[in-house]
Amino acid sequence: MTMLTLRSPVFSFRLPLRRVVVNALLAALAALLIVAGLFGGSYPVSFADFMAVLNGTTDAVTEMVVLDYRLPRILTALGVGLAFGLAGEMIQTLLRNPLASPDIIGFTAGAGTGALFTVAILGTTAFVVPGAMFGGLGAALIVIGLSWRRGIAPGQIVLIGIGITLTLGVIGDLLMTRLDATSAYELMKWLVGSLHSRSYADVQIIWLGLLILAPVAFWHQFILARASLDEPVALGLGIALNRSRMVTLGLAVGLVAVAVSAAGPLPFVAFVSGPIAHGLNRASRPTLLSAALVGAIITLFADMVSQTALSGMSLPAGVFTALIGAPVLIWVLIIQSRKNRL
Amino acid sequence: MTAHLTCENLCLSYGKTPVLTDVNLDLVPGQITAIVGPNGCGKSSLLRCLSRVQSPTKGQVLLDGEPIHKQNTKQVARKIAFMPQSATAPTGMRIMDLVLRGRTPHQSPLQQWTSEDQRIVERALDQVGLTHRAHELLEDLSGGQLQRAWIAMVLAQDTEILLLDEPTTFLDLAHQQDILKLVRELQADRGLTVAMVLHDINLASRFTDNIIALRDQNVLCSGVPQDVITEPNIQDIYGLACSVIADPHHGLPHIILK
Ligand SMILES: Nc1ncnc2c1ncn2[C@@H]1O[C@H](COP(=O)(O)OP(=O)(O)OP(=O)(O)O)[C@@H](O)[C@H]1O
Ligand SMILES: [Mg+2]
Repeated sequence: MTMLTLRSPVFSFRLPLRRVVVNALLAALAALLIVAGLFGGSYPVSFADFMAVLNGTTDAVTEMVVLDYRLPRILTALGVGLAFGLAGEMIQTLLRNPLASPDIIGFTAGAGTGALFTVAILGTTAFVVPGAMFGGLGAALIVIGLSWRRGIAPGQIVLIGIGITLTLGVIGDLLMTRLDATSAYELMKWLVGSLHSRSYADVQIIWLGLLILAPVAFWHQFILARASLDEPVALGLGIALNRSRMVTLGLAVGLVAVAVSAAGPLPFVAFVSGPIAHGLNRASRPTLLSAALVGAIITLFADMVSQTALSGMSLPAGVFTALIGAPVLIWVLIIQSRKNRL
Repeated sequence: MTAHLTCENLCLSYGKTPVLTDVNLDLVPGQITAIVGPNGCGKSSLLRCLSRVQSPTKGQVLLDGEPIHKQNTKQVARKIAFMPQSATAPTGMRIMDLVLRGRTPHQSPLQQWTSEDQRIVERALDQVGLTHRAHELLEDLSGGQLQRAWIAMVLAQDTEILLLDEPTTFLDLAHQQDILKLVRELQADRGLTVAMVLHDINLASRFTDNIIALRDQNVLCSGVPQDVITEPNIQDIYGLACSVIADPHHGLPHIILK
């Protein structure tokens, strides 16, 4: 294992070379998907066209395709993927259980239901973000509260979280019956997780959220790596454990809420990103940057596949993230039950 | 000046079950203290309270005369290092990662690998004889190697007080000696205060300055090994009949069970 030592008066880090390489490759792959998404597809756009769009010297159709359709869609996919990747890695690391990801333990479903609630009850999309925030936070509090056993109990959280996710699904269906067919259809697609016809409002939500939450998450990585040690060890090292757990959960709920507000509860992105990043780095968790990049790659890729003729019709991207995630879930369940940790 | 750890009328119950009742003790600064007693008598619980990892139900632990739970936990972690009885690490960790975690109270998000960190981590790895395995995964180690990795972690914390819960349990005879000699060396060279739970009375006699024996939620007897290791005391602590002889090499009390 080659280690890099970075030292200056203000900082010092010990960095596995492998991690640098992994992150560079992941970033390159994400960039490739972004480029492919911008220029490829059913209406190919050349680089010259793209520059012309930026300079405002092109025909209206190209401009519309690039600026109104592709750019917001890709920016949303990128941001949402990063956010889900970060949130999943944080919770899985804290609870030391790959099943404890926000999309399995009810945080994502809570945010989705919260957002849906504001739309169905208030009839406007103006309050989607606060709705998702409250929904996500509410679900998190319920799951943690119900599973509390003299402290945070990861195994309990997973089981109760799955129950909450199912319950929220039913509540979502009930809310849906209050709507007319057209809005119900639109909301249905959103609930599966869709990147179709994203607008700059969505871009704003997710990138503003990332701008605020991601730096805190990366700063918090140092504490998270220690808060995930056994409780007496972490406390002995001088970690304020309750506070760092609250910060971790708060950050994850926030990231999930903005991501859900922008693109709906894309299933399994948060769940698979961390384990994949962990496997690539072969290092102890958390590896936030790698997980975020994996999340972005999966989301961009799912979005791209959802647009190809392959699917015949325009399916929401969430269908494809689920298609990627479901086998991983089964694999994790098998590993976990072998380890007797279910 | 070395840090001074005491406790006053310490009581601890889990739910309604009392485990410790009105325990008073004083870890003599700069000396090694062994905590002995039968399984389940509360040794680990006592050590957890002393290291402020567990809040007592009543009474308090004082570090340099101040209640430990009211002090800044990071500052406390620079003075006291605690190794619990059976800790597990997250998967994917290597020995080096674990030992470096011991530097936590001296680090910050921006300063995670100073030359001081490197020097002390390398020293700790060397002290437990794991230098050449530093990059191995913890899940690939034997019980004894793992235990030495955990000991290296608390050594890397570079504190004046060491609280070790059964540091020798998984070790073979030679490594038991190595670790206890190392503890003795640290105490002699750097004036460390050490409290450790030991099950082997003869090792406690050989390598510690004081012994505290627990029984029935309280301290049964304490003092220098010669005073604590007596036939009636062993009978009281463990309900075992034995003879105590002077060991032929050091003249220290040595028990032989009947
Ligand atoms: N977290 C806990 N919750 C409830 N009871 C506990 C807990 N930890 C310990 N106990 C109980 O408290 C008593 C003392 O436990 P402790 O671990 O302190 O004993 P010990 O002296 O270290 O034993 P051993 O020699 O086996 O390590 C035991 O009866 C145990 O069952
Ligand atoms: Mg014990």
